[in-house]
Amino acid sequence: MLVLTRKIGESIRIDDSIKITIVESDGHNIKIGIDAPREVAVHREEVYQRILAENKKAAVNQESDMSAIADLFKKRD
Amino acid sequence: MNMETQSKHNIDGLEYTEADILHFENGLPGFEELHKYVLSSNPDHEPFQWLHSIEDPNIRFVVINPMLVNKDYNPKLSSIHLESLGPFSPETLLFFCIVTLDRQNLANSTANMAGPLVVNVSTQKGKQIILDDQRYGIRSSILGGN
Repeated sequence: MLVLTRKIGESIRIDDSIKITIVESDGHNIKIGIDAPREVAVHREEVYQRILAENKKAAVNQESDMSAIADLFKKRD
Repeated sequence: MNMETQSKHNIDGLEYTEADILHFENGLPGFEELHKYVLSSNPDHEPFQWLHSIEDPNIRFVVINPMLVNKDYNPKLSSIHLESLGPFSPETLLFFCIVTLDRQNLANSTANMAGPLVVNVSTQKGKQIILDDQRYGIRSSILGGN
């Protein structure tokens, strides 16, 4: 991993189109500003990882479970 | 119509044509290499549907319309999220949530309301959107309760 030291208000440029700016720091939390093209998706890493893990868990399914869950769903409430 | 959209393909008993294929340009998180999916329905499985990868027959998701899980489902989406799906209107967008079945106890199965799949039926393009919306969880109960 490339590690760079930056001061508050300084930035990092990634490619021609992404700029990451250190906005504020209180010694514990760091506020980061991100300027990126509209098509670039920006996520907190832990949120992205939770979605990824849930997708992995959900990916393989049995035919028999599908019928059973459909029956349960129709009987709910 | 050309031959390509007419000809039938078959994967694991599922028949589809080119026109049925949903294109997920970036794949789904965890499945970035899989871009083509087909939806299938079976009256016995309603309101659930399968979303099959046609590139890896081992991968298929159970999906449901999120409004059937939570009738007030109304995630905040900006048009920026949807630009890559091509020209759309509210009528051409379909929402699905991926269901995680709990094989030990199906009653504990959940839907991922925080990462809905959005499909633009006018372009057959889809993507999974990661919401920044505290109201909707990754593991929401689908059979009532929380």
